[in-house]
Amino acid sequence: MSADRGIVRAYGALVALYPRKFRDEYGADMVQFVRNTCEEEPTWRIASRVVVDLAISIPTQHLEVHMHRNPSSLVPIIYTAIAGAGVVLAVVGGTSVAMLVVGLSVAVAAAAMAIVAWRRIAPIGGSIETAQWWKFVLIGSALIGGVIVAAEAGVDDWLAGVLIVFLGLILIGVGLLLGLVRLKKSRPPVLPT
Amino acid sequence: MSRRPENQKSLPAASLHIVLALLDGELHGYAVMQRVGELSEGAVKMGPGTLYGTLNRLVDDGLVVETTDRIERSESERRRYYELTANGRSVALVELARLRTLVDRVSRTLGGGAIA
Repeated sequence: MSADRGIVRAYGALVALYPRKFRDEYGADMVQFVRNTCEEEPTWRIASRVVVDLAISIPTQHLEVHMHRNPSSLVPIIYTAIAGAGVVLAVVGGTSVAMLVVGLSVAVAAAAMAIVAWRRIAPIGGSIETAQWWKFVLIGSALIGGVIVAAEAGVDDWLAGVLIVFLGLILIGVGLLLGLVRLKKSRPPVLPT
Repeated sequence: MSRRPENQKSLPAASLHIVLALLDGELHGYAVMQRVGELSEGAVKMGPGTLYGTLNRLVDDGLVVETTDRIERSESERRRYYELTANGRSVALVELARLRTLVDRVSRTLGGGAIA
């Protein structure tokens, strides 16, 4: 079925958002997993499960690479903060540029605070997969831009709009966080005088 | 890093379902998901990111080992296979015992036959 092939192809492209080591190790199996699932379940059910799975597991894997330990205790904090931003957006109307800025700021600030707290309990070391940060920002911006364009064009699906903006904010927040970490790591060390 | 079966903390839900599914023996990733679905009567369905992320963590923790290259396989079987390590099996059995105890206690509290 073409819809199934479309899902498999789209999923194959989205696997690029996982950390390189993880996707090199499991990417082919994950795409095969979705292909097998397409033979057994309705397309809409697979699509909804895969979207939720991506939204949870991509940030989790990046944080695991970053922290070299299970982030289960802090991922919920980050998500709660981002969810708060999403709720603010939903209450105010979802598509105003000002509220997007507020929501984005809250998400990034919350993620940064979580990282600061995390560093206190788990010093960061080793390599980090941050080179892909721009992909998150690009895809997140595209999702939010799509919602704005659709709203301007008269599409009136409030819930879908809020959910897509929410997903876009998550992606942008993770992307900016990875970008900040990359920037910090790229600075030359200050030599003692 | 390896876990000690005794005095261990409870496994997170996804890890618990996977180690219980692997008690049957070696399985590939998709078969793990199918087995989890069978065991939970369809209540638990894992996405690929959750499944392989959890398997990756269990391998790091020394509870699961990849067995893909241990035996010769046909071209159609070119997938990653996993099985429990001895430690992973002990952890799974401890978790199973814990679940049995929980069900027994709740059954007694509810007056016996309330839970089939």
